[in-house]
Amino acid sequence: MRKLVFPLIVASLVTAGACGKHRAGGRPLVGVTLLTEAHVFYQDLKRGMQQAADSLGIDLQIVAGEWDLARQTSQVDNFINQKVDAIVIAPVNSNGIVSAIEEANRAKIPVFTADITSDGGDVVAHVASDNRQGGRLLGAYVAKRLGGGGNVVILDQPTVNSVRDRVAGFREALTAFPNIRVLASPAVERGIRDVAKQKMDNLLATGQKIDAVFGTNDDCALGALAAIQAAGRTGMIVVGYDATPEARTAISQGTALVADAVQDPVTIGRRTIEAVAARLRGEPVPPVVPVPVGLVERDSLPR
Amino acid sequence: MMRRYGVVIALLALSLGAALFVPGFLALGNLTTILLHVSVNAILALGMTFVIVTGGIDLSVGSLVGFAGVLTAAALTSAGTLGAVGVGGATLLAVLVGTGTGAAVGAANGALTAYGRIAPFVVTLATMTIARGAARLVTGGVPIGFPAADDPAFAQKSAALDALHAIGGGRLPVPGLERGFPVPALIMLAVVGAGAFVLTRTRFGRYIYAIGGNEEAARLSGVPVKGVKLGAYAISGGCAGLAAILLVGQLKSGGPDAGLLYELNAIAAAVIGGASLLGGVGTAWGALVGALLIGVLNNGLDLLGVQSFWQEIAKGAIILFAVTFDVWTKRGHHHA
Amino acid sequence: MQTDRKRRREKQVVGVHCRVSLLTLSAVTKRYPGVTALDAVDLGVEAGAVHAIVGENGAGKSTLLKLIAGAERPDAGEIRWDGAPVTFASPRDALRRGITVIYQELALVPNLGADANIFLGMERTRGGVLQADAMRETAAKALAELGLSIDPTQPVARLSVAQRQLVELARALVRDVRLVAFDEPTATLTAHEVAHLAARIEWLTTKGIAVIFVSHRLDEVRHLASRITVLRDGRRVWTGATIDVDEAALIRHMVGRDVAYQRHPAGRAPHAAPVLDVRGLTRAPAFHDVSFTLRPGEIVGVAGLVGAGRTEVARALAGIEPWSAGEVSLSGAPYRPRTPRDAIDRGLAYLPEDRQRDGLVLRFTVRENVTLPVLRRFARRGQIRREEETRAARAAATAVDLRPAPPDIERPTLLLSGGNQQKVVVAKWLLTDARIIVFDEPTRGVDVGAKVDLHRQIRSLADLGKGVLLISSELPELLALADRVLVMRAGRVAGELSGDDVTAERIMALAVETP
Repeated sequence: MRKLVFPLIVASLVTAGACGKHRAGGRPLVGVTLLTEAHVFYQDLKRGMQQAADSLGIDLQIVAGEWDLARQTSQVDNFINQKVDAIVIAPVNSNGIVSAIEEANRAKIPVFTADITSDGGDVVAHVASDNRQGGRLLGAYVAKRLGGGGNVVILDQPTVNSVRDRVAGFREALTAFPNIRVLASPAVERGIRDVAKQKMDNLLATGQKIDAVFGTNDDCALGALAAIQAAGRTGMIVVGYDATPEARTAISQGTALVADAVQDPVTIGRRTIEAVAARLRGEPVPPVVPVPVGLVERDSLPR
Repeated sequence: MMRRYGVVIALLALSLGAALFVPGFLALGNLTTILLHVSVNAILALGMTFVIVTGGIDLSVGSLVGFAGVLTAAALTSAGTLGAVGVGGATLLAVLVGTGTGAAVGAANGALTAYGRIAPFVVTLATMTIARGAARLVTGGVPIGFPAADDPAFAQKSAALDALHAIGGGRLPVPGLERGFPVPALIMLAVVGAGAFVLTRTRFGRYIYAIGGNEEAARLSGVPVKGVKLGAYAISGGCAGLAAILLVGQLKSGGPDAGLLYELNAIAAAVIGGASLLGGVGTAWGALVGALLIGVLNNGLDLLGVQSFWQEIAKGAIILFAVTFDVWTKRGHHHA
Repeated sequence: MQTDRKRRREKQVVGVHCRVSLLTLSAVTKRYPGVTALDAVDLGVEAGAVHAIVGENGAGKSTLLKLIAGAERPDAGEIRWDGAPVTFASPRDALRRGITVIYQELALVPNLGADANIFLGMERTRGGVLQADAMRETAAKALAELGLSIDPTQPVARLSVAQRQLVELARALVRDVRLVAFDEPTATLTAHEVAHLAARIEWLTTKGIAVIFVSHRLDEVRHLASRITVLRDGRRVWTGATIDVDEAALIRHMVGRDVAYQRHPAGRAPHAAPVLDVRGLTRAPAFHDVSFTLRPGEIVGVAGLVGAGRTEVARALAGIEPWSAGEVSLSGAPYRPRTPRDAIDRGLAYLPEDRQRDGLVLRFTVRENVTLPVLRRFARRGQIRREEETRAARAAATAVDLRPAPPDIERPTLLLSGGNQQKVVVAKWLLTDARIIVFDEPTRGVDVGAKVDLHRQIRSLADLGKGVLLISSELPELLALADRVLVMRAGRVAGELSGDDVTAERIMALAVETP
């Protein structure tokens, strides 16, 4: 008896499955899976997407992989099963997401990436901040503040493509200043603030002269700031990326955090859905849609 | 009766609820997708069941999935290997490396627990940390997978990844099923079936239950307790290796962070399926039912677009309920 | 009764003619650190006969069984099996030769069925796959022969103790056992189950299997066994045929010894009003309807065999475990502690059996242990005042004669000797100004010198007007200290002795006698 129960369940469910429910027809449905929903940046991104979707008459189903590649892959899988009209992905892992994109390609569903690129597969369009430009902005700023010479530390996140671009742009800007040296660029797992602080603590403990720190996102920058404040060090500047409210507060209070590259996640979200809509209408869409990045410093902030 | 079939009834009830309230749940494509998504956890839960029935626990399986996965991906896409034995040979090697790594680490766990007499919790906690660190060390934090566009061995590496994908994420064409039946689900069913056979019909399996029920009595009866325990942990590790291969196949990528916290899902599935953390109780099919329950839950909530945080809470609540139910029925028996 | 005796005599006669000594122990000695458990013991067990072993707690019965089971090896002497000298390398070794010992804590795997348990360690397989059907059949047959008709696949956890015993017996039978030893098999059986087991044991003898039967129940012993050996303090004091001895003689053999301590001069004048009045205290299955009184300045001894329920009663009075029926009044006021704190606050101190596990925090120093129950006294707004605490601790340690004097109260109790540790426990409770002190086996594992000190403590506590309840398995100790002795048996008060009635024989008789 026990042995029959299991096959019985499978059989009954499978036969019942013949009459599956389908979506209410009409509006196009777009499946979106983000890196995470817990971060301000992605919450803004979501908002932008929702705004565009509402005004364009598109339904969105938004989920998040929460840093788990397998989870995001299964979410894409579900979208394919649901036969959505398009899929938007902010990949957990640029390399690992390729196989999911290929599945979607096989199912002939158009795929778009937002904020973070993928290493392969057919992607209709990638909408993101021009991270390289942002990195370059910060690099130039740091060089100016250092008067053309000094030691710099980069708190890196090498697994994330967008960060790679930022760092690449940053270093690009620094090549014009041979007297500025990049001392170290430790990797901060998942850009977590605690880890960033720890790495910074370790660097400060080595006693080397550090003039500037580039935190590749705000958590890294704020983590570095905490380490500097805890060690009571002065004469260092920190620059960050994302300009989250906390970072802005730190900047306006005159701490060591002096500038942030500010992305426009709302616009990224909006432009992404606009690109999707264009594609669904049959119009051509450029493969990369860059959204410019600005710089925020103390002067540009309201008191 | 409720005790034995309670989980199955719960699964059916949950599925019924999903069928009624979640659009798209009952689609054949979705159901087979659930089997696909569940296969990794089910295999881990099967291995975990062997260990739990002996009264132990294996916290290292998640990290092993990452570690074995990384080595599998490395073996698969190693230019040297591909050159020497071709895509087929590299795939075979990758499979061997994956399972072998898992089994070897598992055996080490078993040896330290059984012969070194260190608590399994402590041993596997240590292995978990070491394996995760090793995986990150080997890869420098970057997953091994899809080759860069300018890689000279691009074609071969791609082909090798495709080959493993056929095993880990491929689908068999079946009339009536648009996307086919997932291969890993077949592998999962085969593995669980084999596990069930070993547990119920072989001497080794009998010894597993004996050790969990009363280790001292078993020892005095001449049961080779240490050897059997080592075997149980080796099986758990081997299952982790196999799960790693499937995962790498599915994702075409072996990342050092793969399998993070998977051990908790495996334990949850095993316990929900009826295994008792006190030892002596648990079945292979139970592990599968437990994994399916979690899978159906996740799938339903995903289709409804519910935030992942709710899913975590729901999963935790079910585990709590399952364990309380288990302890409560156990206590009833003791007074007999 | 008459036919019984005649039948037994006949059995004896037959036995004499074809007596085959299957197992012989000659001058077997076993020593553990600090104690000689067996001292040059001889034992001869014949095939097809039942040989009983009786003795007090600690007489050496369990050690003897361990040697027979192959779990331990003798330090001196020889064991012969089937005429040839043997050394059992392990329990498996003894099992293989055909010796099975069935212990009180049965060695079964609870979640497996009877068939699996019967074949545990010797499963019939083909290439690693179990031949489950064949084993189930054989198991069912063996169980049927023992009169047990159960589903052999049901987990044995669901069986009663008596049934589980039979499963163990079935296990032995399937192995072609030649000697079965039972360790206190009837302690937890009903009368009906005992009869059934007795019949099975007789049946075993008809198959030529030798049986060793260790028990306290002298009437059962005399009913089943043809020969009895009495152990006392690790020595064999008597062996003979059952028909040649009566119960009184057996008891005499079991307890007869030179009383080591002087009997305390009688004539303590107790106060009229009891400090503890216990009526009908019950908590099934541990103890039933226990009643007694304790007067200030009195030492009441509590005697009985292991499992008689003495510790359980003490723990209930100490607030550690509840009781389900009965009333207690302490100094005239109703007393029903819900926690140990309640007991302490009312002035009842309990010094537990396992002093290391329950009585002391071994990592703590003497001072910290001694002041633990009354820390509140030295704490002002939560903070401990060290000077006061140290003073009180030193005073208490001196009062109990902690050696070497002057007592080092900063020494971790882990490093103290057993005797000193027990003194620390006593000191602790002195500080609580307890009015009633319950000692549970206070001098177990304590050297002679410390023992004398402790006895002096106990007497002086009574002199101070405290009521003392002294649970002890050491008859000389009870004889020396107690004014009255309560004897418990199977959870009930079997009797109370006072004055000249307090003798070792009387106590033992009450402790073992079955109604």
